[in-house]
Amino acid sequence: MFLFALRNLFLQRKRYALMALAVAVGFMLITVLTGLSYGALETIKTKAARYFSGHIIVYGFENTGMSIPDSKSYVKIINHSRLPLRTVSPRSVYYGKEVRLFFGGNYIRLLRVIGADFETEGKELSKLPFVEGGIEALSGPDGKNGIIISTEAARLLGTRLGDDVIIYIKTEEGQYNTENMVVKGIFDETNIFGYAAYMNREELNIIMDKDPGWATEIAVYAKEGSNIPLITERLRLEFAKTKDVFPPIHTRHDFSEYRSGNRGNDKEVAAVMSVNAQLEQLKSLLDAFLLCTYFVLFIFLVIVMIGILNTYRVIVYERTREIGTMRAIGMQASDVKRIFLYEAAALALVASAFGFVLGLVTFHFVGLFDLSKVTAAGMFTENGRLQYFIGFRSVALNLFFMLVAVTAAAWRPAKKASLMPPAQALRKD
Amino acid sequence: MKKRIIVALLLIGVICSVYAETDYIKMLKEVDNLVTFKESDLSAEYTIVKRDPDGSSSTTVAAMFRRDSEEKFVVLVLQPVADKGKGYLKQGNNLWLYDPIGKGFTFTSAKERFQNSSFRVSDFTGSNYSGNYDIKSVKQEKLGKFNCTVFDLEANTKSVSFPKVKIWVSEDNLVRKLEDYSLSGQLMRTSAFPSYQKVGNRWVPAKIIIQDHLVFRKVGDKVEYERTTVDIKNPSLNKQPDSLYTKEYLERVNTK
Repeated sequence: MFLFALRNLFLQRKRYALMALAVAVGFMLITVLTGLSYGALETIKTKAARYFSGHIIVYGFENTGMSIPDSKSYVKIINHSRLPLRTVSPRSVYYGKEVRLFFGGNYIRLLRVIGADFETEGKELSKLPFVEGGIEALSGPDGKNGIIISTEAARLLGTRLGDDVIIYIKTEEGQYNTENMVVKGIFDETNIFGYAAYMNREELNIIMDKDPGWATEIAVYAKEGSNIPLITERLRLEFAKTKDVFPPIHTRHDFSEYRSGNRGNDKEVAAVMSVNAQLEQLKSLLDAFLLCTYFVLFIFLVIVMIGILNTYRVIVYERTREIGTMRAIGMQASDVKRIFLYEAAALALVASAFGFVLGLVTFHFVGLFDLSKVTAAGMFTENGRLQYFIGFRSVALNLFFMLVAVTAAAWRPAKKASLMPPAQALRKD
Repeated sequence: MKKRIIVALLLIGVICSVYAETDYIKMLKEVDNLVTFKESDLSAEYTIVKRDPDGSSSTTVAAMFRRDSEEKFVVLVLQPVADKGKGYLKQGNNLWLYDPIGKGFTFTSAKERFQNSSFRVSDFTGSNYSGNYDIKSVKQEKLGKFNCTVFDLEANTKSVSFPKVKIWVSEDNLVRKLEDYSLSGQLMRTSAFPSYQKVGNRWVPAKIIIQDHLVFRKVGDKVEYERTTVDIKNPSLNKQPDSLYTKEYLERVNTK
């Protein structure tokens, strides 16, 4: 019967063309808006993973200060966990207020200086959107005292690749320290992720007056498609076997609360936190945006449904004799209704597929626009371009909504057609 | 016989150097002693002018009250109007910053810059070079009209802002020039003390000129550094009420 409905749809294609176009445009809009929303979320997560030490961050605390005196012992615990991880690397991050970068008498304040082990984390950090230089320039003897800064930092300081800059920080005890560094890479970031500089961990440790093995946290990158919250919890339980650990951390607020609660405790405590928890507030914002998107699409669907309802009324009227013939040759009333509903469903499927292709083309055109000049968009773009993400779940959900909307709109006209007496239908001119 | 003479000469050398070092330590103690007011309170008005290399400047006027015997001080900002009422209170090792807008105290550090200038909050207090630093080398040098002893000092504690300093001390045991270095040995700032004013049997600088070596602008061959000038006026040894060195005072003075 479905094939019969499909054949009908094809034969009556001129009648259905306008309706199909409305459904295709609707599905294209749904695909583009959800694809861009999820793309923005994925872009933020990728950027955040580089900025916040991976998908999962393992902190060490002594009192309220972040400190892992022996970072190797933490790495060992993580590596023995046998979880689906691709990179585990210690980091020393300078979170203090007084961190400045000087060049030619000018200076800028940085939000954080990230000391990374490029041997282990270099592959992850090489995905930073470099405009000049790169991570490889920090390896080997030539990479000594190298620093990677953002385009925004370079612009404010007036520096270029190869320039000598001075990094200025205050040690934990409050002593001032400086070091001459060479700009080895410039990456394109204009948002908050841009007020960070990357350098070798051991070199940063020296400036911070710390031992070479010291770190503030361990950056953990999970394999593609892994369940981050689940791995985070498993890792936490792994640490709990040998160390004191904070309870599960779901938001930054939880993190601050547990940290304050640790005041006065000189014993080493570990904390395991996912990047999702770091981005909880931002995620809520994007969820709200997605909700608004779906609301707009709901209104659009209602309009499409009204259009389909009216078009189907006309179609049923125009096909009255056909209905009469079908009933005369023995087709049941419920079968007539089913044929019309199948036609509507087939229409929704075919038009949605077309809309999906249109959506992909639209993504291509959206990707051509360089938004790097729009500072506010910097957080959601990679190399100045909007990214999209099409997940199976979101496409299936969108298709389900469209199917339900179209078949629901066709329901009443289909029922009316099925209730038509065959003799009366055949008499119609 | 020759051996004995050599040993004796070496011994004399060692004894002399120990004595000389002891003399220099005494000298440093005197340097600290001359600017520390253990027997009385000290109050003064500070005018701090920060001049950026681009020529723009900002002025802060603050009233300072010190009680060195109890390691206390209060600094109250009088100008600019936007910061009026802002105050610092030091009690022992604790230092609080009072914000009159938020009406709250935050714990802060004496190593912080005062009003974003090169003058540090710790610069309001007397010096303790003899306690916080070890002498690394000493030499004699002429600094303008002053015959100075130049001390190269290295911190023996992490509680000081600058791990290495170099001071020029004139014959009257007053610091005339000071260079502050970072942990890595980078010159951070140079301070000049062109004049002092006598208060009782102690001394207070009348003017301090601080040059920040990291913030500058090159105009042709000339280098213009960020410069902070501190004028200290109306020093007084009058005893201040105990209630002045309290949080309540900073709150009260802002409700008037």
